[in-house]
Amino acid sequence: MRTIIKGLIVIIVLLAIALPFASENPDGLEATMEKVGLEENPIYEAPLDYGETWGQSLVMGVIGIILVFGVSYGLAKLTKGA
Amino acid sequence: MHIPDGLLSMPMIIITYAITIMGIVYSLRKLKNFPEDKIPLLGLFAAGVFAAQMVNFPIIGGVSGHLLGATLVAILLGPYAAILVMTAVLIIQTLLFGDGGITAMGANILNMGIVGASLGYATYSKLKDMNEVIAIGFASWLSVVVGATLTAIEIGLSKSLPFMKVLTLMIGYHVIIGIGEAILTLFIIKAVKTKLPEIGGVPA
Repeated sequence: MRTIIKGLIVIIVLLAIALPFASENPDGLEATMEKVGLEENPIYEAPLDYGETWGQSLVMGVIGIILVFGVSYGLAKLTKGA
Repeated sequence: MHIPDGLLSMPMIIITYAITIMGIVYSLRKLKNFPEDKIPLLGLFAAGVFAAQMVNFPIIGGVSGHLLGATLVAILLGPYAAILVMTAVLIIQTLLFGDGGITAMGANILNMGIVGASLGYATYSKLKDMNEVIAIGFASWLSVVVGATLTAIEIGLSKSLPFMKVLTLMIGYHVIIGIGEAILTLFIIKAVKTKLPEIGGVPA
């Protein structure tokens, strides 16, 4: 358990350090879509986003990290119980 | 590389969801033998993949990419654990953060998760006795390129558009993004094996 808490802290610290260096450029798929004129057509509005500032992104990152940990842990536990 | 809503046709949505659900169900069955004490570690890797995917790295031409991580997790925890990890990451990204469309979630789990976990892991397993570094690097690079190719094919078959152009652009960008994946995967595996020696040999 100590290892896991430490690991989560390491991930959050690394994220905090790396966030200012994150590229805002379109990714490979977005760039391809632009070049061939493909547009997305959202049918679902997600409740959260990654925020604008470093602080907002970090908070969102921490929320996501905890949720993803919980969902994956829960799913893995379920396979044991089922 | 998250496909948004509006790019896949109904048949493609159904096919990709069907393949992905089968892949997940199969993996969950296989995970019954997964060591109980490694489940927290599995959660930790899922959290790490989510965080890593928030940080895009720039490549040439004003384009960026991010780690996929499926091959990375498959090498450390086995392919079935990697499929579960990528499924958890994509579910949270799609439903809560709007990364990728809800209609494309099956395709996205397939392209970024199942391909990397299965093909990436198989490639690594074949090459690891020859050279561990080359095996990790090539397998993770290949997982990105094949995932991108599959993405292009799914979109190309769904829409009337210049298919070869989409395919060429996607492969072209991801041949380079894949190098980033390879470097990050090598670096992270080395760091994890140094800091967490107990991770040891994990059953596939």
